[in-house]
Order: sequence, then C-alpha cells, then structure tokens
Amino acid sequence: MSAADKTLWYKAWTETRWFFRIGIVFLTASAFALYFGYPDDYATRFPNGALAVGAEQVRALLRDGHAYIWLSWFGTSLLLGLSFLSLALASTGLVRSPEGGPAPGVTYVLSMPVSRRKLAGVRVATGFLELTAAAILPTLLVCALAPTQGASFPVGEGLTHALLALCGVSALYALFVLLSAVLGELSKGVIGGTLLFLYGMFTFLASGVRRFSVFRLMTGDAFFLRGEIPWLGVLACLAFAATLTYASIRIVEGRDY
Amino acid sequence: MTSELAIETHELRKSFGAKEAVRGLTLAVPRGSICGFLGGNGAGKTTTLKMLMGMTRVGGGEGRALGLRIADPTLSTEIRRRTGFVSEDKLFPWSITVGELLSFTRAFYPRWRPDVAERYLHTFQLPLGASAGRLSKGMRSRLALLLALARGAELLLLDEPTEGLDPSMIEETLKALVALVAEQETTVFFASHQLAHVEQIADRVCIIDRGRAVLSDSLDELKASYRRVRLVFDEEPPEGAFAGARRDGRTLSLLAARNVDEVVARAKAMSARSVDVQPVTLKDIFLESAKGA
Amino acid sequence: MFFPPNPSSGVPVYRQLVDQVRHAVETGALRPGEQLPGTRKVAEDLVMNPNTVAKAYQELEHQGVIEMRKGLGAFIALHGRKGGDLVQKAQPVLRGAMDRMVEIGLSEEQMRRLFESEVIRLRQEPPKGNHDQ
Repeated sequence: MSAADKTLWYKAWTETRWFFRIGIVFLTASAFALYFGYPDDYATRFPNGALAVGAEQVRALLRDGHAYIWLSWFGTSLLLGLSFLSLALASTGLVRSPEGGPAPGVTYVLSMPVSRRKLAGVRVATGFLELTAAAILPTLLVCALAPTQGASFPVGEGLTHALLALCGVSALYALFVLLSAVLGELSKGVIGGTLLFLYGMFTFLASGVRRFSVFRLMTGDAFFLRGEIPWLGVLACLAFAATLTYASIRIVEGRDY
Repeated sequence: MTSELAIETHELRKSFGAKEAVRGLTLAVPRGSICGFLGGNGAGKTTTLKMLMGMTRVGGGEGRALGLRIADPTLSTEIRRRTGFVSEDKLFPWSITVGELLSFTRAFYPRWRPDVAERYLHTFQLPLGASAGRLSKGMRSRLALLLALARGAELLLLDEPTEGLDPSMIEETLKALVALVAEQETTVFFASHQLAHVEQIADRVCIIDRGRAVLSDSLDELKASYRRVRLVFDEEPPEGAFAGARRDGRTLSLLAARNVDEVVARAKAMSARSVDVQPVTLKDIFLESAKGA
Repeated sequence: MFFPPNPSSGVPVYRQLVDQVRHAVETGALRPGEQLPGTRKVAEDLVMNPNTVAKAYQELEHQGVIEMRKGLGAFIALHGRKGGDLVQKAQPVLRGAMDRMVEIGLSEEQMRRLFESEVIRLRQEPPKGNHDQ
C-alpha cells in the first residue's frame, strides 16, 4: 500500500474513531450488564418479547441461560447497538454542508490527486470494518463471560450469529451511506434515525411483516431455533448493500463541488 | 510533452440549473507567467478555477491545464498531482492539526518540498500543533498557501490568496509567489479583488465579466495601449462624438484603447481647447471593462 | 539596490527598471564592468514579476547598457557612456525649463501632464532637424 493509500485509511479512521469507540464502549458495557442483572427466573424477563422476536416465542424459549443470552444480546443489545452505530458511521466522506455547498474540508480533499471513487470507497470500507469489529469483539466477550453465571454460549455459535447480524446491518449501513451521499450528514442523521425507529416499531408490532424484517435476520432466529442459515435473507441483504454502496459512490463521483 | 500554455480554455461553459455561471470563456495563460484573474462577485472566477481542478464538471466547451484535458477524470487526477490549489473557503477537515495536515498532504505529492514547507511555516508563523479548524481566516489563508507552495507544483491556482491577511503577510505572500516563479518556472493563476496586488506581481491579466473573458493580455501591453483622455471644448460637444465618453458640461472624458493618437487628432480637428492625456491604472481598465461587456 | 517600481505610474514597470539602471550608469553610480544582481534576486527583493525583470535586462542588453555573460550574469557594459553624454547634455536644458515652469506657478502634477501631452505631440509631429536614436 502506498503512503498515499495508508494516509487515506488513516484519515477515514480519524473521521470515524469516536463513533466507533462510543459504540464499542456501549456494547462492551451491555455485555457486562447482561450478566450483572442475571435473573434467577428467566420467565420473568421479556414479558413483551424481545425486539425482533414475538412474545409467545420468547415465553416458549426462556428455559435456560442459552436462550436468555441469545435474546438479550443478539435480540436486543447487539441489534440496537449495531444499528445505531451503522447510522453514525455511514458516510462517503464527500458530504454537503446544510447550506448545500461542500462540507468544511471536502474541497481541500478534492484538490488532492485522488479519485473520488477511492476517497469514498475507503471511507465506506472503513466504516464497515469498524462495524465488523463491533459485531465480533463484544460477542466474543459475551461468550467468554457466560460461564460466570453458569451458562454457556459456544464461540462458534456466537460468531455465526455475529456474522448474521453483520450481514443484516450492512443493508442498513448502505442505506444510510446513500442518505448521506444524497442529503448530507445532518439529514442523514435525522431521517436515518427516524427510519430506523419507524421500521423497528413497524416490524416489532406487525407480526405478519416480521418475517421480512432485517432485524429478524440480525437476531439469527432461524439459526438459533432450527440451525438453519437464512441464505436467501443473507444474499438479499448483501446484494442490497452492494447496490446501494455502488450507487452512493457514483453519486458523489458525478457531483459538482 | 510540455505544452507552451499552462492553461487554455475554449468556450468553457457551466450552468447551475437556470443560472449560467460561465458562458463561453476562452483564455490562454503561458507557462511561467503570473496571471491575475479579475472579475466582480459572481462573474464566474471560482467556478472556472473549480472546473480546472476537476471539482466541478465542465458544462460545455473544453479546457486544458498543463496540456491535459480537464474533463477527463484520469487526466484530472494527474493535473491535481502537479497543481497547487487554494480554495475560496480555505477550510480544512475540522479536527486536524497543522502538522497532521502537512503529513497528510505530503503523502500525495512525490515532489513535495520539505524545505519550502519549513521556510513558510516560519515566515507565515504557523504553529504545528494548532487545530486547523480553529485558525483565523488570515492564518487559514497562509496555511492554504503553504500547502500549495510546498507541493512542488508546476501550476498554482489560487482563489483570493491574500484574503484576510494583514499588510506584512500580504507582502510575504506576494514575495513567496514571486520566489516560486523565479526558482521553478511555476505558473501562477490567481483570482483576486485586490487590484494593487495583481498590478504588483502579475505580468498577465484576464478579466472575466458575467461568465465571459473581456480581456486576456499582457499587463504591460494593456497599460501601454490605454490612456485616460480629457477634452475641454469651448462649447458643448455633440452627443456621441466620442464613443464611450462621459460628458460633463464642456468636458469629455474617456478611456482610449489603442487609439489615443486618433482621438487626440480628432479633438484638435474639433478645436478642443485642451487635450489632457494621462496613463491609467489597472483599476481604470478593470472598471471600464466591466461596463463594456 | 533598486527602488521598488511603481506599478500604477504610467511607465511600464520594466521600463522603470531600465531607466533606473541607465540613470545609475549615467551618473556613475554603476561603473562599467560592475555586476548586477540576478533577475531572481531582484524579483524577490522588489517583490515583482521575474519575467518583467528579465524583460528589463533584455532591453538593457539590447540598448547596449549591459552585457549578459553566460553562466555569470549581467554586467554593466564596458564600452563607455555614450548615452550618458546625451543625457548629461539634456539635463540642464530640462532643468532650466522646469525652473521656469515653477516660476510660472505650475505644480508637479501639472508639469507631468504637460510633459505627457508634449510627448504625444512629438510622436505625431516629429520635429524638423535630426536627432540621434
């Protein structure tokens, strides 16, 4: 990698590191919190269901720590944490200011002998790598801490769930990258956050739709309940993510700054 | 292959929606010259500079910088490898220090001049640890210029490089530009409202008005061919006797371009009482050209 | 070594430099064989365009006031002060005329404008009687 490339990656890191750090801290704290208030009677938890899973299913499941960890972590904490982190990290880097012109510093970066494709590509990839770390590392921690409360969650299973969550959140991430490319950072935050909230509520409340929810995919319930990997959902999310990412990069390539 | 011209455009155009910012701009800037790019607000200077740098897409016509076509994305990247730029806003990525910005920029320019960077860090009094986002406008202008100068560039495109600077720093800036051209055959093309600065160091001038070039010439030739002429007659002279003249009772004053002798001869033929000829400044030429187009 | 030229006077900047050098040669401030600073140094010291300095040096060389020695720079020509003699002859003439104009009551600005007008007149009606180039 040339010095110039390394510098681009480093710059993307400096632009995202605070959100990443906050996300990691939040998830790590959640991992600890999971075991801190560990219940003696599982059935008292989740009276209304976990975020992406229906209430009846929950009650049927809560027989052991294994299920409890699944619902608390993959069904709630990781789901929320990754989703909001993806919103915070999503950007092409070549964004507009609220008034419509280029954001501070974008003009400067554009005066460099680097293609916009590379600038945007590196930035999007950096955010994605950070999401990957945020999905995997706290999950490993959760698996490692399980025995402290006499439960267990195998690492292999945990990692599979983490990767499923990552596939799902990549679709959200790409959507937010597109919002950022088209609208600018502020609008991306407001609209993206609203979308996330509405989508979450909708798929939580309307049981018929839950089947198609990205959130459900992220919890990996097919894998948990039946040991199946939802390949169709995974492919759909990745294809969606790739398409929107490509579109976002093309948009910033064609724009006047 | 090096072209004789550092910049050439032919009928360059750009519109933003209904607004035409550049409406057929044709100019040529020879290598090694310092060319002042003058025009009122909204005349199209910034848009032109951005098109040359590949930040704004060319709407029509064509342009070349250092012989390379500006509309081609690959060539445009090459142009930027050999060009230093100071933008109108002079803003930097917010949370970055001066030192970090230097390291960041340096990585992209194989011809980076650390000696130049060092020299101007000192001359422009820029602290390495300061956050670029919190500098005053004047300091940001100086930082932007330093970054442009240290790139080892063949061409400098500057948008109001002396903005926000106090007189001593202005002098240092002009000196730096002159030194660069003297040392390295660099071409400087700078947009400015400060006619005095342009007059001091430029050997060429290009005036743009409402998106078109109204003048593009060597400064010496421009000043040699323009004269301010004041004629006083015994009686009120007829309207339209001299094109573009301003009448004030019995006095006519006009800016003669390349035809001073003819004007004087005609005035004598009309029995003018007094014929007064004076040299012009760049300001006179600029204000006059802004009227005409 | 030179005065900074005035960019907004009517005289082209390169010519102001030429005049400065010629004046220095004529009054003996610069002697034959003496070296002039390089164009780059002059441009940087006076904060003016290097091409303009180069143009001035070219003109001086063309007029025979200086000679450029390859690799070494610009030197005052050795062949004597011919041009200087002419100027020395004319100086008292002009000085006398100007003293008279001051007596008449003209200001500096008026004198300058009058001179410009007369130069233009000369251009259109060359005087009878020859004059050296």
